Amino acid sequence: MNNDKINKFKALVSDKKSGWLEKAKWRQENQDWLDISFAIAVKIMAVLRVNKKTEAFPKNQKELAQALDCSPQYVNKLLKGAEKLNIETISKIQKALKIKIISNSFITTKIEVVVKQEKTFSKPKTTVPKNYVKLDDVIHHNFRTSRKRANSQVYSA
Amino acid sequence: MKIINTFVPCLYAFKYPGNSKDELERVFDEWADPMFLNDFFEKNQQDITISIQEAISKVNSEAIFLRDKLIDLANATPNQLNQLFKNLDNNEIISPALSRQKAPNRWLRLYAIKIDENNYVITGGTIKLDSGAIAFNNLYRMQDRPHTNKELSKINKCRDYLRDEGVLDNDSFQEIFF
Repeated sequence: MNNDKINKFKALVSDKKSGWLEKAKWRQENQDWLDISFAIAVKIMAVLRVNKKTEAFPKNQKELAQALDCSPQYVNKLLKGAEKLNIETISKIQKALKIKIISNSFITTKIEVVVKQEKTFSKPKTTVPKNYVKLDDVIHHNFRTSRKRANSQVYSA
Repeated sequence: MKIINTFVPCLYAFKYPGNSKDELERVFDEWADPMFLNDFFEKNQQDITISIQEAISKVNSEAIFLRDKLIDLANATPNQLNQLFKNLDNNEIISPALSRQKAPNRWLRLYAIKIDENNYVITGGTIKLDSGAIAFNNLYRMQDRPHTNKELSKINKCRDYLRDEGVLDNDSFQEIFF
């Protein structure tokens, strides 16, 4: 091709630039979570497809919005595969569609959370500033040195 | 229609009236959109031998591969665009063997018109399901499916436009394979 034609071609080129590279780099940098979000969207649509065939609820985006108690717009965003889902939303999706997205099999030992009740103490008659809280054989901590706890209620043991 | 710069000096893309995105940006957005892909494969399920879920996953992997390759290209000097483009005659019927030879089991296509040895304009792109069931049972032509036929029509319009502007005098277009 001669220069005349190339010049004619370049004269047709707008000064605007494609948004492709910026998006491509963003997707590359965020690939890890985008892959997960994408996979969740694909899974949701697969279940909706099966539900549509079997007439089960939820079988479309509108019904899924009802099941998740969110707007159809949010479901639409979700199915675009670029949404940062929180654990609560993932749990709702699992429940609504009867699928497992996150497994808790990584927990190998049982963790027991024990909350001990605070003992009831009577207010001191004296004004000795013993600024600490006594819990049932658990915590003995003097907060007098802690500025953050300066407003703690004062009890005497 | 407009021609705009992409990310390397020698690669351009068409932007059609009414579209907010140029063709390069548009196709990659579609390939990253599970909803678009789900609809696409529900409509074209007859052309795949795997499940829709697997097909979507395949497109996603190919798009990532293609994207990374283009980003590498954007950072490379000198221009290596020629490595990406392969000639394909407009009216060519692609046999399964030829299809496999040119793009083994890959579905994603970008279409471009070659202005000269170094300059290309992307006219569009699509998912071309010429492997799998259709490749074994039939010959695949772009005219055979609405989505590929639409791309063919875009290529023809762009070529006519460039001819009218006195830029183009040959009939070839390029199909980008990886």
